[in-house]
Amino acid sequence: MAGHKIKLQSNDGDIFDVEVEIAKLSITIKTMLEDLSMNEEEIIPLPNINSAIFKKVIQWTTHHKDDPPLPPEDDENREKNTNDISSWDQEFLKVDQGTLFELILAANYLDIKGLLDVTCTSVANMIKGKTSEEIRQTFNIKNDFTPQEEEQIKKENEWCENK
Amino acid sequence: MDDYSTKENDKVESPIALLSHDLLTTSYDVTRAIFRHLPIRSIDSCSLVCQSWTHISRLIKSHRHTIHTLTYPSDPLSPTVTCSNLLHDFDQFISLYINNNLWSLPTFALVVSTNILASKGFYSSANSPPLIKHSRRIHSETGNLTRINERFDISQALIKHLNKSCKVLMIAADGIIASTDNNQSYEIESNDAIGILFLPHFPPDVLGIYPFEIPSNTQIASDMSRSELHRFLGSVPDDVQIRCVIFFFVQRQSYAVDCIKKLLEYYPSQVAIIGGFVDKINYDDRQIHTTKISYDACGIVITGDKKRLHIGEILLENHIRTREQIRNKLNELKSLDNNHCLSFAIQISCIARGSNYYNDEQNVECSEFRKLFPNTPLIGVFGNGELGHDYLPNYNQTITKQQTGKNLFRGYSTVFSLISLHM
Repeated sequence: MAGHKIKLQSNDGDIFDVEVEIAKLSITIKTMLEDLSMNEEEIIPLPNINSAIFKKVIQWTTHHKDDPPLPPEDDENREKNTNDISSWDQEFLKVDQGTLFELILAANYLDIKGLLDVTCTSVANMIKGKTSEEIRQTFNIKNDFTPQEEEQIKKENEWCENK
Repeated sequence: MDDYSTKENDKVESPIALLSHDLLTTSYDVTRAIFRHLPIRSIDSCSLVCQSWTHISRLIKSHRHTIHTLTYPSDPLSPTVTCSNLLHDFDQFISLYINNNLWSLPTFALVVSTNILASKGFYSSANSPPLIKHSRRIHSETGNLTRINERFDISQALIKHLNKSCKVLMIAADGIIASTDNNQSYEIESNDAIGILFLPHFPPDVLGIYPFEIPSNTQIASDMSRSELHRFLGSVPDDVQIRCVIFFFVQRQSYAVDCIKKLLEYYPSQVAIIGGFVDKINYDDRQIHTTKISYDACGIVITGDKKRLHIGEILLENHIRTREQIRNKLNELKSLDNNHCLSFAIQISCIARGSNYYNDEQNVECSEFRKLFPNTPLIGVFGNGELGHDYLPNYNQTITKQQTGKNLFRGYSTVFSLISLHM
């Protein structure tokens, strides 16, 4: 059965009708609906998300609405490194770096664990196997160390970067 | 020209690129979320990217505690795939593992290898290792095209991939017990294989690891004090209790054996001892070595607070030879384990056990262990004699006869030690 819908508004003013079940994949929206017992007709503003990104978020949550809930995981003691991304998600994430980072921000703000996981995995896969200089180039990060600091960290580090 | 190209580069720096940069280095949440998906080798590289990442990388390095086991080759009992002696194949296997799967920084690696593989080592070129008696002929036949076929010890080949603070204890025996990263365990008796257990750093009350070596002809003085014994066994601080000692002997007639007596003198009932007689030992503490002396024994002392570190050991004596008997015995260790704790286990079996003992059925003992402890990394050797006893945390009161060094030595037995950590 088609669930009833709620209205969500992006920061550039567009209003989206979204099925409650799908919107609730966002813990942030779920909490808003439950704790604030918001009226169904009320428009919920999402001040941190623009229309283009929110469309992508809805696309992702719609596809994943029947996924089993992710087990809560211990932050640092994840037993296995499961960096596989499903082919649908891979296709979904064929976007430029800017969009990818906006998606991460949106997933983080909306608290959609599955989306945060897959977008962060995608960035992690871009980092894996690269030297620090290659990572800086990939993401346009500025080297803000003094030569002494850099030397010190190289000493502390467990592996040498072979050039 | 140069001026022009720099201008072009400046223009290319679009707002999107700036956003990535800002987000990646200023949003702690986002960086943490991304780093959660990175293997530790990448975290190490990330610490050199920029200041804010250095901080997060340090934090992650000290907070991850994954115990790893792996097996080379990854399917050691396969009848079709044989274990490659090519350095290149091993390099590829181990670097792939470290770059993608190693989750926390190992501070200690226990490496077990089958004797044949340990003596063959790895070769840098595809030619089969030159036989000594043919060496002259090879020289004249292959002429200019001969590439130098260098031989590498297993520890040499492994260490160049490992992080610099990881100490390596390497044992070679007729057979080994090894597990893969997804906790498949194998008793490998006739194939060539290597098994590795990687232990990360833990808070000292959870797990302390003190590797030690006993040089040949070391005499154990009969009046050796407790603190001398502690220094002798890996320099364990005086105020730290020894909870478990894992011994690997290469010499049967060695004074090293006497230190077990001393150990039992100072720890009459509260220490778990496990060990075996093996063929080769080699310890590398990753410091600079100048002289190479020979050793009769080596091993690991395990320490930790009684509340945080639970140790149990069971002995499968020679009359235990069915799956059901094994299961009953292993079940005694079950009380140590719950699903929320980390653990690892050591299996030391008599060379006479294994498939010979079970009508040519392979993996009987380790598969029974696996069924009861599906997520516990397991590593071990088939020794020419083994050392162990039944030891369970609640048994302390019930030990009536004092253990002496002698009655720890076994034959035709298997000893399992389970070490479980409560974070």
